Amino acid sequence: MVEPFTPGFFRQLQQLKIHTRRSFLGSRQGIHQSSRRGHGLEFHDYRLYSPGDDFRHIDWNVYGRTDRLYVREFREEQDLNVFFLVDTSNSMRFPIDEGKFDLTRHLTLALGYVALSDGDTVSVAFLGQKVSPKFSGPSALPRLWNELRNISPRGTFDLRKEVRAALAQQKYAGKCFFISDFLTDIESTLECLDLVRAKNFDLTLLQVLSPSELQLDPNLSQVLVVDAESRETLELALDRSSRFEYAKALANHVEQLENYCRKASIAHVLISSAESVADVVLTKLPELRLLK
Amino acid sequence: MGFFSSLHFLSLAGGAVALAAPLLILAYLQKNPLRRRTVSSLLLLKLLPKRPSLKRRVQLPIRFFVELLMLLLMALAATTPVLFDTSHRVAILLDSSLSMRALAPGLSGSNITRFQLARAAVEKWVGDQSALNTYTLYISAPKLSRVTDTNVTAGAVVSALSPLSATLAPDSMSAALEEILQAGSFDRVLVVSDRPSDRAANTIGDGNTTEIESLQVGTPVSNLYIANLRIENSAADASQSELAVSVGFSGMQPVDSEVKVFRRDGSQEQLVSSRPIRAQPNKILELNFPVPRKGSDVFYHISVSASGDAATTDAIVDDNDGWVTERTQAGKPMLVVSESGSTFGLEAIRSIRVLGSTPVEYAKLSDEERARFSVIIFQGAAPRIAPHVSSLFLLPPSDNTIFPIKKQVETPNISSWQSEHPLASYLKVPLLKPAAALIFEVPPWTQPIINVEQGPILLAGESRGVRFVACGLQILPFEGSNTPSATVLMLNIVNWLVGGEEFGTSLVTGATMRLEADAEWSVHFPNGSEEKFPIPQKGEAPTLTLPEKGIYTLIRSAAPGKNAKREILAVNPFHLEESSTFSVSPYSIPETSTDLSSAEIPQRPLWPYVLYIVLTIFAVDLLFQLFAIYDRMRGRVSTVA
Repeated sequence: MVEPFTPGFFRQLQQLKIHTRRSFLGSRQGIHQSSRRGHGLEFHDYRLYSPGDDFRHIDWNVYGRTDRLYVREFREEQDLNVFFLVDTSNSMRFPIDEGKFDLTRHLTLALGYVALSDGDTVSVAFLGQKVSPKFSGPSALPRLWNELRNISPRGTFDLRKEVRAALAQQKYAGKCFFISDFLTDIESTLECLDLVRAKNFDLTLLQVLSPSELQLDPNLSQVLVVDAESRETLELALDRSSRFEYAKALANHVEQLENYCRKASIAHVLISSAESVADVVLTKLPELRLLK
Repeated sequence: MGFFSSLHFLSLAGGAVALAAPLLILAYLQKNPLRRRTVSSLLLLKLLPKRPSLKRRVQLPIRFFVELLMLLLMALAATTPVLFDTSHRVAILLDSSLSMRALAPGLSGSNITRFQLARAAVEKWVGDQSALNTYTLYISAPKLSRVTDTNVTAGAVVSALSPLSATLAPDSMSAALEEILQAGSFDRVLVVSDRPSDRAANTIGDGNTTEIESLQVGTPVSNLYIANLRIENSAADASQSELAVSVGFSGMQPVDSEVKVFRRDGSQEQLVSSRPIRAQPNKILELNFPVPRKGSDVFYHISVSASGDAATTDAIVDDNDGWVTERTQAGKPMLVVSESGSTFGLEAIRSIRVLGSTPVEYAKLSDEERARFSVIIFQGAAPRIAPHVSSLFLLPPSDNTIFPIKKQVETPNISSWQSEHPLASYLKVPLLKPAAALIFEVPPWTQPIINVEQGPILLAGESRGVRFVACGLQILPFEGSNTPSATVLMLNIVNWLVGGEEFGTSLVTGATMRLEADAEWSVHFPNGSEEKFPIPQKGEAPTLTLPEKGIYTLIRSAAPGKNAKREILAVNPFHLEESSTFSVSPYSIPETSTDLSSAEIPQRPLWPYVLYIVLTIFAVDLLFQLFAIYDRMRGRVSTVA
């Protein structure tokens, strides 16, 4: 394992639990309350006895009080399907040496370990490349890491198509972490989010931007910028006013995303690639009540 | 202006450093090339203002100009500029001879004289020189004269110029220049004349290097003039004389003219004769007019004038008039006075009778007896008082008082001569090559004719109507074709001496003459003014200069043993060289026989100061970079490269 994934960090991750806004139907018993009423350990409610119900669940105390047969209903605790949509397009490589994809990888690993240590099922869709197998249990961590380690951002793809294809492989809804820089046109981004919502996932957007994307490099004046995916070029002359304009444009873009997320009850977290995964997972996300 | 004339660059090649300036421009254009950056998305960057076009991009930052200034200053320092910290002592020799009275077409079409052009040229030249220079102004005619005090300012020179005007006298620019150089107290000499120099050279004056600069003014212009006037005895009729007039024309095309002869007897002037002529370019036309013999108080006024439109092309009008008086002369013999009493072969000169005499025998002669001779030649001898007869003093004794001797030199080198003087006619002066020569002092009434490096060895002058020649080299015995140079010189001397005596009394403007010291003189000038010469205290004969053309009346008061006397002198502006305004002959810059030596000129190096400035600018540039002051000075994107 790599820094900061020390044994101590893992112990801290074990204390965390992915918080969802609602219950999801899992594939197996887990620790999450599912929407399925069943025979779990947690009392949920009474209901009238129907022929065929397990008579061991008849609450005789209630019968004695009401002369009616009621059975105790327990909430089915099932595993959570934690699904990561990870943007692995070429844009996540840039700017070079600012660690945007490294942080993406670490966030996926950290959150994935939280989910695995809770008995949840983890799968990762590396958009544009592949979808990982499902992992469950803490022992799946090395395999998860192996998947993450062997992936490098490359190429360009139709985001909607890839998200749609990734979602199609998900049988159960659950918690979805969509990790990307989201520096594409807002319309197609929102369409992708709609696709995820339509699948009933509890979506959290983790927008990872490099420091030079958050604030233009002050040492740059005359620059020829090249789009990492389309290879389109643009000549720029940067000064104080243009940096101000950029900040405005970025804020506007992020605000559009946030507005949609707010309306759609989607959590949106803006993360700088300069931040450490520990700070994000141990502090920031719990503060946002995305982890508990 | 003085600063820039003192500024010199010792190694101009160092300025090649400035050729790096284009490289600096390229470096700056290259310095801000487009940095290529791959970004994740252009989504937001497309919203920013685009880079200005190349045309607008080529706006160099302030720092470029700072660095360019440093580069240029370093190039300047590399040329090692120095200030020649010296003031020059400059002599200005201004030609004031007759030829400078010639009209010169002005820029505005109006005619000004060459002398006015020369004055303006001097004024301009002085204005262009270093303010540290000092000047001494000389004029060349009638003899070299200093106009200002020595080493005055430019302003004083300009002030002294305005009242000056050209004279009617000839000059010898070569001799004048040599005299200035011999003084040895000038760093530079400016010669302003209508004549060019034969060459430009540095020469030595008393061991220092003197720079000579020539300014020529005026352009070729036509001139009609009288070259000579004389009265000759008529061979056919003893009661008649022949008035011989020589008319010259310096120009391109023949010109129709008219010669008029007036006789002035007392206060009345009467036209005696007139004749139309056609003057040919560069030819002397000889005319004879018979005139009755009237006596010595009668003089003739001859005038020549161009006709019609040609009158406007006569550059000098002063030489269009002449005067001549009558003096009856008979064929007189020549007397040679020497210790041996010999005639030294001079009897071979055709048409001249020659008698020999010893100094003792000469001393016994009375003035009237001496006056019976046309010329007296003193060979190795000299009387105490010069006779009133044209005389040649050949190798006079060192203690003679008429032509004081400076020194004797062995195998002297001839350095200059007055080629235009009749004594130098047809003479190849450099071929004289004397084994030894006497160097004369120059009495004020004489002019040097032939000079060696140490001074003049042949002098000529006129005094009271008689001519004198002093010759410091041996040209006797007269051997004819066996000694051609000496023979030609002797003939020239005799002709000149004889001509002054025999053919009427006529002097030229600019000449000087000595008046007898034992009487008072009153001189009436042609312009009507009068000058009195009292008996001098120390017995030195007063000198009369003849600047104007016309008739001078000299009245000597009675003195013990002498009656009062009245003489009429005709003074004419007949100077062939001066009147030849269409083709001027160059003057010689004196030769030097010594190698040039360059004097050490104090200099103040300027390059350290330039480097200090560069270092200061560099320090300021560094500070500006450290405190990002350049960045703050940058404006909006559109103004920044």
